[in-house]
Amino acid sequence: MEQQVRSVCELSLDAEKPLCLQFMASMRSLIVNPHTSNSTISSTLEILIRSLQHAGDSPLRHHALKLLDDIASLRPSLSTAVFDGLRSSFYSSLSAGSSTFASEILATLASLSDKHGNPEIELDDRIFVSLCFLPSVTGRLQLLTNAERLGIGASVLFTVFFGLTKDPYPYVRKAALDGLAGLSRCNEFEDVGLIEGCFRRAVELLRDAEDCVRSAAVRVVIEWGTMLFAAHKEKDTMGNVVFIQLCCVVRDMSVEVRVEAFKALGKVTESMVSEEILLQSLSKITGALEKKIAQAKSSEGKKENRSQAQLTSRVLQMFASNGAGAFLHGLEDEFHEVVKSACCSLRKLVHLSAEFAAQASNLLINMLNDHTVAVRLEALETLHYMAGHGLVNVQKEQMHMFLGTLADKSDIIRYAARRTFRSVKLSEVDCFRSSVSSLLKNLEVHPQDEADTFSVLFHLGRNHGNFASQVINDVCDQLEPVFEGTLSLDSANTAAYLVLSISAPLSKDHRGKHIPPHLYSFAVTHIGRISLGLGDIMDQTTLLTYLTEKSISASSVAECIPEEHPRSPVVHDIPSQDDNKSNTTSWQLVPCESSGNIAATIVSYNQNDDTDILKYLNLILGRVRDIWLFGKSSCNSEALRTLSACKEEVSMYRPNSPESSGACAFTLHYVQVLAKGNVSCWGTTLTTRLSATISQVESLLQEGSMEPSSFVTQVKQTLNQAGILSTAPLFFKKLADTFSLGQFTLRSKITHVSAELVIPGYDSHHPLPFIPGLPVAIPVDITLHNISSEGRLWLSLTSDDGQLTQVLFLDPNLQVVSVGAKMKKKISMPAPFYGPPKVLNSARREYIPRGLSDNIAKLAIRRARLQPRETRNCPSTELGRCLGLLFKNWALQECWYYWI
Amino acid sequence: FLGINDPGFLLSRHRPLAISNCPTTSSDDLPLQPLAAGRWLRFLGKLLPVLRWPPQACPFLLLVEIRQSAPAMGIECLVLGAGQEIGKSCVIVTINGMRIMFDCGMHLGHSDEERYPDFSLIDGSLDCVVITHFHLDHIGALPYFTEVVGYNGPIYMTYPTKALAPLMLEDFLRISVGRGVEEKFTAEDISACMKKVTPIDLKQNIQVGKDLQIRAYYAGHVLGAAMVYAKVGDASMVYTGDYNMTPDRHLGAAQIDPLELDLVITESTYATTVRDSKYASERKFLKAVHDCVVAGGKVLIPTFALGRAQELFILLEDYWERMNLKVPIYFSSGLTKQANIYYKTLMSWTNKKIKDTIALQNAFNLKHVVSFDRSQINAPGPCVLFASPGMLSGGLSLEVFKQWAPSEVNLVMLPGHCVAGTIGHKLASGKLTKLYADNNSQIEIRCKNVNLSFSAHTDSKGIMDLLKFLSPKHAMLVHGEKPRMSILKKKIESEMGIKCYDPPNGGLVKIPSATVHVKAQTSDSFAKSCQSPNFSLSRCSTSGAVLSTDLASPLTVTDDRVGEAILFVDGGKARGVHKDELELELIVSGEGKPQVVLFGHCFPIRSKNLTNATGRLGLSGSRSLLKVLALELSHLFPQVDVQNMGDFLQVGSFILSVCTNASCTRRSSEVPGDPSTTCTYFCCSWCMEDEKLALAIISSVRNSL
Repeated sequence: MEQQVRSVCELSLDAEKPLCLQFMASMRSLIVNPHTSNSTISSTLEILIRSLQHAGDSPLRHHALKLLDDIASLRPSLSTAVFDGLRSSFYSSLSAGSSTFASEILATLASLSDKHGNPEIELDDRIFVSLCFLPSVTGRLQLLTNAERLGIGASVLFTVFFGLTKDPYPYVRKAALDGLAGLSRCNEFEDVGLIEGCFRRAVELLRDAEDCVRSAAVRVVIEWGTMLFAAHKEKDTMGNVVFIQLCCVVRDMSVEVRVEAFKALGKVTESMVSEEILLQSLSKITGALEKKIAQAKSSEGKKENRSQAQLTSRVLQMFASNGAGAFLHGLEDEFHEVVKSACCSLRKLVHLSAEFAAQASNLLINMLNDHTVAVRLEALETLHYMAGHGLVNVQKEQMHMFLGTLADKSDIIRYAARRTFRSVKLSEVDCFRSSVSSLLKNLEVHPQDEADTFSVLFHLGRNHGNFASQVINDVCDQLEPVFEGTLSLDSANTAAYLVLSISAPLSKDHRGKHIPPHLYSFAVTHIGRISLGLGDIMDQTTLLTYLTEKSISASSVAECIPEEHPRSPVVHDIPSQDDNKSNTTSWQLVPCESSGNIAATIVSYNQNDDTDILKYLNLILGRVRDIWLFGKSSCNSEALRTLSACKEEVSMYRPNSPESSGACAFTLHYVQVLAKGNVSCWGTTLTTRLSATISQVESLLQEGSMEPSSFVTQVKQTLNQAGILSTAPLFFKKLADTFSLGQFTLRSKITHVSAELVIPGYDSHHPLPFIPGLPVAIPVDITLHNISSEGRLWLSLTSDDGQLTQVLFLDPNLQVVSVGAKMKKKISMPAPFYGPPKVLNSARREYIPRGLSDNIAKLAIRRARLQPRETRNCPSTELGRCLGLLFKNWALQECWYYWI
Repeated sequence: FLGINDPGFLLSRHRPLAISNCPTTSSDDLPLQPLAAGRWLRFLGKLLPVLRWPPQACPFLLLVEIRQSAPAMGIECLVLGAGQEIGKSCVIVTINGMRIMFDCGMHLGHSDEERYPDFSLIDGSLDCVVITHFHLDHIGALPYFTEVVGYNGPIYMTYPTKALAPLMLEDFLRISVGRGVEEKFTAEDISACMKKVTPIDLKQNIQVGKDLQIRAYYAGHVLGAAMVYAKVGDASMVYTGDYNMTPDRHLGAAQIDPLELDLVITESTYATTVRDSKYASERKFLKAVHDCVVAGGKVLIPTFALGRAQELFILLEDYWERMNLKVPIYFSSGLTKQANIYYKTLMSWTNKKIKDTIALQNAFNLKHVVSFDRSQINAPGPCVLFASPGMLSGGLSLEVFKQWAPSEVNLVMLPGHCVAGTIGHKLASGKLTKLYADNNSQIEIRCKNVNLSFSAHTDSKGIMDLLKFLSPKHAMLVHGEKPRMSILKKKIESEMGIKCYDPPNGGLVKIPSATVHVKAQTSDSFAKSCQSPNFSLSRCSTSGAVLSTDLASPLTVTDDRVGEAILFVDGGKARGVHKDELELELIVSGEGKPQVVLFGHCFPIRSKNLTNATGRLGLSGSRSLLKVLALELSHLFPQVDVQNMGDFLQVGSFILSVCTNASCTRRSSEVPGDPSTTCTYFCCSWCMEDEKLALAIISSVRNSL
């Protein structure tokens, strides 16, 4: 079939006959068939290209072009060939005088170069202009639409576009205007007269009879108007003129034009339009404007600035009668597209003036009553956006409308309303009360919204701590569980109020502190449903800790923290977020304690999480130092409790980055070691342990070429003497007294080198079965953190009784299964373990019941640990310098070994 | 500078060729004779709409617009009702001999002869009656007019109007009978009358007779309201009826095409009011109702059965639905029930929002709105009741009011304006504290009342918006209060620069100018030249543009091909030829002899500078004037040689003289200006090759004096 069609085509071409429609159809079937061989396609391509040059004025040329386009898009490999062929036939058709066809080829070329990234068509300016001046309207239209892709100079393009805005054919005018709008981006025009001419022409065309021309003109008006504003001497007037011209279009009868007009209004920048004009676009009542016009008119009489005053009064007059209330019209429009477009541009313009924003929010709140969901949603979205930027201040009389959306039947609207409520600012406590009661009422009607409602209540409480605590104190009595009557503890209402009381102490203004602490213990009983609602803010454990601490502790802690040393109230304001961001942002709320009390919380925001965590850890380290001093004055148990509180505090962090996780791990161990050191009794092994430590420290110091601290020297001396003297314990006691813990500050990144080892399916209750005398493969899963590929590791397995230890060398490079992000490697391998039968007999803990096999035993591993083979790397000198002796020792250990 | 938008020039084939200027703005008599006598017309501009035709239709027809005054042709409006008042809308319009009656309403404020339009003023027969919508002040007199007065011609109205109008009329009749007033028509008359009605659809072209074409456009206002476009020959006009330019709950905004119109007759109910956001009044309404029913009160909304009632139904229904309220909403009139059925079926006449949601739910399927029974008046618990008539002027609404008024928790909501003298008006103005019940006992009025305006009429800005969109050549105001109308009239005249009329009842307005279109074939070469762009860019400081700053000279573009052709009229056939062909055409028409074409123009100048010299501007006076001009022109045009020949100035082929001949054929009409200054005419002529120079000189002469 393929061959047949091909030969027929070739035959027809040989005969120099123009192609007939039938052949075209067969060719098309060849082209679209993916199984047609490449050679056939390329010969088809050749035939088609030749036919373009020979076909004369045949109407079939158009079909041939289409087929070529098909070839290029279906066989990308041939697109260059198509492109070249078309280019040559373009010039040949030019020379043959067939200009309409030439521009048609140009259009195809342009679309090809768009689709396949073929080189740009470098068309000579003169050819382009001459083509544009030919009588063919279709050709002209195609040229204009593709003009920007033909590599024509901007000034030539401008002339052609500008001239053709006078064309009697509306689509040519539209294409010309579109071209002008595109040209405005190229920044090549500086002549004010030229820009103004173009702007004026576009303004004229705002009254064109055709919809498409008018909407294209709107685009040119804003683009060139912005340029004119930038270039013109009288900026104030020009900017207003542009704005006003656009405002006058919003009453157009065509929806398309209205949408376009609002889009353009959104592009108006700050300095372009004066505030009074902006405000007037929200109201049709023009009282203030009329006064201004009268003023402008009266100043016309004065000689100076006469033309300016005339212009001002004329422009204002036009605005007063046509453009006033443009946004009002847009928001009241019958067509949703227009409303949407108006809302979009409002979102952009509200930043220009606070007064404008306030009035716009009034309008938008009134819109919440519209009977279409789409419009209400659009209004809410806009309000949400504005509230996020702190631009919505709901007045008392509007509350009714605003709260209505919370009870809306449509769940999309309710959701959007709650989203808005999260960031809205209420001016009075009454508004707050009614919002809360509306939310509660909504909860009764739509119990499915509970989680989201709780979240809104939390945010509301945080935004208005003062109001929240007032409300809570009012309803406090009702929240007491009454066991005789109905079990009110179960009601969603109670839970909702409890959410509010949770949020109040976390308020941004730090004013919601006076919440009766027993409420928090009630809240614990609702932990499930509350944590479901606050899932995006804190998880259940955090919440529980927070509640427990809150309910135990006295509520006076907040006051006892001196302001100048804000140890813990590190409450970060929720940054105003964009719509896109807010969905992806994750929140972590971590309660922290000071001397066993919750002082405040950290709401850490994962964007700037690292520095905040470092800061916080340093605070803890500072506290630890204080405790050390405290511990020295022999209040050991007190100090211990505080230390363990600190430990818990640190362990509560769930850092997001490896850097902060390193710092956390370090601090945790720092505290742990301190806790140990503080209580360690002076045992007999002390001397040996100390000397081992000292030697390790010395080797470390040597590597880092650092001087030993005076304490190290002193310890060394004492150790030397301890060998001789019998009064060693006394010396050590003295030594301990001389030691003082310096303030250690975490400054830079700490890498936590660690490994986790898991033996799947194994624990002490389920020993591994094996046959004595035969090696057993123990599956191990190892996760390595921050261990470079040069480091080599060994795995030691010790049997239960400690009699048998086997060591296995690991090459992470060989055994790595997967490399995760941030220096995390996973190794999964079977570790061979072999023990002679007699040893294993003693090692086994359980015997398999007789009858199966005496020889099968089970292996219990007492301890498996990973150790690095090389110990050359050492902590950064920065770190080393800061460490006291004990910590250095510990740090050394910890950096290398991670025990499972 | 005479530019592309300047009016055309007429030139005659006789020597000297007379050329007259035809100003577009003036409606005074213009010379049509040269055209009729088979002369030449050269025109500029006004061809754009014609050239939208495909070039393949070549040689295509050109439509040439000539403004003229012809006594037989034109528009004449006789206002029978709603002239400087609101009520009994009725306007008889005669367009080029065809006579149409727009609306046939009754005045509800009168019960005597004044109630109906004075049909005796109609001179001759009517060609058709067009009714815009079903309100009684637009349709109330129709049964009387057809069945009693005896009109038997065609009647047009939209489908919803035809469906709802009989309901309104019958209800009206019922109330009248109830009040003991005898109307001039009966229920039989209504049904007989409605049988004669031809329903029409929006944008449907209706041909009445041979010449008259009418078309209805969407007007908002009430269901089925229409604006009517009428065209006879070249004259066309729009009668708006009542309309609304902003959409409301159930209706869209008025929608009309850009039309070439001689006259727009518009309503002007709110001629001076500018209304702000409709959302605000809706919010107030809902809040008031909501607060009342939540507190356990009863809400009485006195309203007429059709129109606003449905709007408020939807508003409340939607709110009830959204807020999940269970309080019953009652309506009292049987009329409403039937009307709601029509509303449900006539969805295509509502606004886009309702049409969009129709698949989910018919907005007129009112779940919460149920019909009312009198026994429920004193039923306990909150409710909302819509009772007719509005304004508490009697009937059920008043009866219920008397029952509910003594309670403080209740609310009376007046959704519209109340006419002075009604109880509604007294209540709204806060003057009503006591009311006598039927049994002569006194009722204390303790209930709350709220008055809100839910108007379906457009406001003054809407009227201006519509007029500016249509940009007719004349405007006429009806259906409004006299003082407000005259304010609006002035505003229209000053802002749009067109003549506006506000005739009283019985007033007759003649729109003197009508448009005549001449169909002309084009020559091939003109058609060809039209196809290729021929633009040129220039920098000139134009004035008159919206934002002339005179600071920079902006770039302007002109494209001659779309503006220039020469119209050749011979033996009633018109041909547009390219200017290069002019000479050839002249040779053909001049029986082979080549002829020189001279353009001529005789223009008046009114100037205070000339007052001392004019009046009796003698020979010496004119010579000295020319001397001054010569001096000035040689300054202005240093590149040409200005010759002062004593009686005339000559620049190339351009000749300028002071014209004393009162019947100069080149003379155009009087220019408007201060009549205290006298006019001096300057007559000039030139050859085609000096055309640009001539136009420049003429404009500078105009400016310099």
